[in-house]
Amino acid sequence: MATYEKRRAAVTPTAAAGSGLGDEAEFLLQADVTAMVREALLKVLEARPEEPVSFLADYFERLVLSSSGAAGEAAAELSGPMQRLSRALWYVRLAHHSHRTAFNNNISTAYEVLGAGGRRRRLGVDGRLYSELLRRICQHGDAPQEVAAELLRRVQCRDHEAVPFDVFRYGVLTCFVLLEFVTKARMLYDVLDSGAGVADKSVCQAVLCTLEEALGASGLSVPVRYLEAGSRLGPDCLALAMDRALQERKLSTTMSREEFLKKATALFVAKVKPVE
Amino acid sequence: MSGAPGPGRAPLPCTARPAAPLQLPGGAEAARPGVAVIDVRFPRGSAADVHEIVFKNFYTAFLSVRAQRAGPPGPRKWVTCLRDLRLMPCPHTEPGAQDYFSLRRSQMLCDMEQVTALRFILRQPSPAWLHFGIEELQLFPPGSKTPPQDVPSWLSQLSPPEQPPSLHGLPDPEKVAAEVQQMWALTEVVRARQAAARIGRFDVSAALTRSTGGPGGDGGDGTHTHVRWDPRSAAGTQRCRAPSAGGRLLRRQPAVLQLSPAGCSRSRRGCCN
Repeated sequence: MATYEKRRAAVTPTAAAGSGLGDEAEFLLQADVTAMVREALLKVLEARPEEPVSFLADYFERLVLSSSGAAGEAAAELSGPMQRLSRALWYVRLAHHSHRTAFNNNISTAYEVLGAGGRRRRLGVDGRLYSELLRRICQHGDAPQEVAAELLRRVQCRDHEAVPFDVFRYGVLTCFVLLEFVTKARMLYDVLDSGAGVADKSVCQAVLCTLEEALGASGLSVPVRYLEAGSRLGPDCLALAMDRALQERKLSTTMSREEFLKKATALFVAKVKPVE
Repeated sequence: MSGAPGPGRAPLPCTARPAAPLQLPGGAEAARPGVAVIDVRFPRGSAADVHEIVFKNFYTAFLSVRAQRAGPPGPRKWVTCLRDLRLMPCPHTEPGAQDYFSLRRSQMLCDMEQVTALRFILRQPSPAWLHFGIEELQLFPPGSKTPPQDVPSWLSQLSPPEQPPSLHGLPDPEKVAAEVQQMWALTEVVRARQAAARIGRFDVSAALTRSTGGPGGDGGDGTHTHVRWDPRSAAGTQRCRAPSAGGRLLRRQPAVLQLSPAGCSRSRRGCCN
């Protein structure tokens, strides 16, 4: 009895809202909204942007543009190299380079966008576009000019060369890692100057020398190298090195932030294998 | 004595008579009593201090060790150092039957100084193992420890030898270490990667020797000032431009070429230039 009543009671509200529900479901189906939202979510998962809201906004905007401008070649947005470049730049900056799969996805999308052919253009990314993209990445990330130039000299391709995807990915990843390295070097300088604004030269030298030694151990097997670097870069060893440097110095000179950055990034760039 | 001693340790020289099974007096046929005795004597009747006994078991279940000491008061006497040490957890089964054992001075019941002879009494009560004994018997005097292995200096320095007396004027080492370690990790990321694909850049730098002098081929971006002609580098696959033009080769990757005929003709023109 009770179950029958319960069932009857259950039926009536659904019947009442059933019409409402049916309308809503039909509406969604009609407008293709479900599929669209699902697509959008899939894209977000693929790209893992650091600002998902702006990513979604841009995605829907492009959707609108492409659906409305299907008639005209308002994929003139696609044809110009500058627009393609900015599009690729946007893609490539979405996810942090440590989210490896998302980053790789974004890079492949950027590669396709950059390499899309227009009416008169061949498919493929040539060296000019690639170098320009790298330059813009470094510029956007506030890397100092000569540092970026030094890295680009190793990684860029000549204008006429066709850039395969692997090289493209390598170059873009290296640029992003350089940007993060520069940020870290800046933070390190802030720690080293202890709020004074300028850091002592010998202390900076000591720290940079320790880093260089830790990096320089090559030819050992990989686990041993990590252990050794870890022990060299531990707080106690660093404190010793800095203390020794402070005691051994004769004159107290300072090292400016730019000089510190230059030396630190020189260590980094030395390890970048050039593209050949 | 067979077997090599551990690094840096020299076993005491001694002679051991092979294991002699106990026999009942008057027994005609050879019985298998399950007890055997090994006598170990030092050469020329000398005495030694025994710190460690190392051997490899061969199906002996229980071991007793007696030592003959040259005690200062009076004649030498036999003292029991080990009584019925169980070598095999179950005498009938395999575990422990061929294990290596090391008996230290601390495990023994008496002092092992000035020992002139040692007697190993082996017992194997199980009928499963007919032949049993001890192999690779070695005796070690005290004071011979294994020397430390060669460890790298950075590993042996587990605790820092000195601490900086004060951290005044030093930036916080924890923070510095954190930042430097992250920088190191980033550099390692880059060092480990390399572009798997190659551009296939052929820089044909043509040599103008010093005698001919002349303008070096300015290769486009002006980076080459001298030029060196190496005919080997130009061998084979690609045709090269004349040196005076400072040739650079144009090479397209095949994946890019699969397109419109316009693309092909352009690339062909580029390659054959």
